Amino acid sequence: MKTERIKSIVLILLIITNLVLAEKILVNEKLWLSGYNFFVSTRNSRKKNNFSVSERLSMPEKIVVNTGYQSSRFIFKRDDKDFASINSAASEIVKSAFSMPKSALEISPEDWYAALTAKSLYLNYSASFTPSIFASLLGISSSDFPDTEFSDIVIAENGNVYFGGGAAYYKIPFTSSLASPIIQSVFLEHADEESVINYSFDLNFDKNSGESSTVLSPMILIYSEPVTENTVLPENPVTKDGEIDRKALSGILSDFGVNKSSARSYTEADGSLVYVENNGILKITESGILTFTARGNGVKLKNGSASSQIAAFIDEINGKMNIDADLCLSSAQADDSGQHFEFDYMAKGYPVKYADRCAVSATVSNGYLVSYSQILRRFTVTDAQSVSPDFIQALDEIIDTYHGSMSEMRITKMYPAFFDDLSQNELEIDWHIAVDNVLAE
Amino acid sequence: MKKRFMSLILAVLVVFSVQYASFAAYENSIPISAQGNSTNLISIKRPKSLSGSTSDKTYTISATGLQNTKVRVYRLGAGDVCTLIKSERQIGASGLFSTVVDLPDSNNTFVIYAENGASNQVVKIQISKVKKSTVDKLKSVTVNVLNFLK
Repeated sequence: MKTERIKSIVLILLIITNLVLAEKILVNEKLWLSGYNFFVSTRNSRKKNNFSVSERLSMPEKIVVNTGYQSSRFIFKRDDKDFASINSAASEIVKSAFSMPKSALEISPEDWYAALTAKSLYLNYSASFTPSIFASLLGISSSDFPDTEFSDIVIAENGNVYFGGGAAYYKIPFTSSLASPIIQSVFLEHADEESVINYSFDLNFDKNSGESSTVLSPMILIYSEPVTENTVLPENPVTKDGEIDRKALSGILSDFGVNKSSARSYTEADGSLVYVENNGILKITESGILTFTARGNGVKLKNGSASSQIAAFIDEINGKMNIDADLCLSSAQADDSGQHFEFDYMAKGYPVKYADRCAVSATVSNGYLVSYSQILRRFTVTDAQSVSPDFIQALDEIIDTYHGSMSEMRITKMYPAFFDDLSQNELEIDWHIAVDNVLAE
Repeated sequence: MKKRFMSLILAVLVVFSVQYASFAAYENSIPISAQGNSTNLISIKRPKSLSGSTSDKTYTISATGLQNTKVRVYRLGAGDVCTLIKSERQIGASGLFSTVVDLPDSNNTFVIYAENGASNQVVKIQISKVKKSTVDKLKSVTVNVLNFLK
């Protein structure tokens, strides 16, 4: 009796499956894509995203190990194999130091520079944040720290933690034995390597002088050699055969509160796909730029701090779009309208820059996603190599374009990066140069 | 009178041409005694006092200078002759110049030769190589003195 019932159920299921598949064939919908492999697909669907934004939110963009020798410093990028272990130890020290209440002492720039020229770990963040925002990224309670913005942290060999940049520098007296062995082992492992990297302040390029009208921020790293790196292929996962692939996007619509069956959708003249829903408008362009603008409250996010909420949201989108790319926090600001976050894609440990926007920008207000935009991209590293221009040569070229109209140019940031104008097939390593202000003559 | 005038012009020309000829010859070497005819083509930023000490294998010399100034770097070898170690580089729009030099000896003398049109400048730089332990000792003495002064 029981066996008969099971047989019947199996039979009914087979009939239903048969009807569904027959219907798909009748409406000419492909059952699977050409080249589809069930076993590969199953394996991929089980694969965890290697670059979880939630797990990498408080990671610096790069770590410089200062060995005490001015000309032997070693840069570790986020994709270097030793980065994780160095960052793990550094993170432990920083968390403990920032948990100590009322412990920050203001120091002079000379003390800050002395820490960098001695044995130390320099953590460089893309974003500038206040101690309270930084504490929330670390997942610790905010301590009573001065209300200053910083993007640089230095951990001395003995464990003292320094933070600062721009306006003021601070020291948190702390003792730890974690940093010293890292510095020692990096020094011994790389003893044979030539690595001449100076900070701008080492070379006194951070001060205005009569002969030069260029002033570099003191923490800019000056590479003595051009940077050589593999080229990167960006892939737009949204467009297929020159049109937006609705199927590829179907998984993420619900994340923006868009009901696939009831939302109004239309295609604009430029080919952009727009969904209009009660809680907001979702637009996806053919170049893979997704923008969501809330109407009313917006999209309710999972519980947690604003930074963890947005990180989890990006992970959700990336997971569904099959984007396994590292995203580095490049801005974290708060104002009356909410908390604003920006992220850069990282390829081979270098940021990928776009002309007028970040890879991801989002605003969260009271637990709701108010606005969101993302350039949807996957990256593949090739075997081909690209070489950047020499550091000073790159600087000369950018200044040449402004020459004649300025009396002083302040360079706030300069580092190796990839550039994507959304149409290039292959990205080569180059220099990202940020100019703070040009004092016109 | 005319002869004397011509001789004078000739003498002036000879003096100038000798000077230019000597600098034109400074391709691969330059005498340590060489003097330039200008002092404002480049300004050395590191080492600020034109002499420095380090425990490193290399040293980064930095300078700022006028755009289009051509810069060459020489090292003092045997005798009084300095040999070219860094070929000519032209200062660009940024006005910045830096170069990394090796430090084979305990006392190293470098000559920075800058040229822009008819002007040229010669700057001598001394870099001493000291043991790391000595540098660390000096640093601790500095710290102690600073603490004492406070």
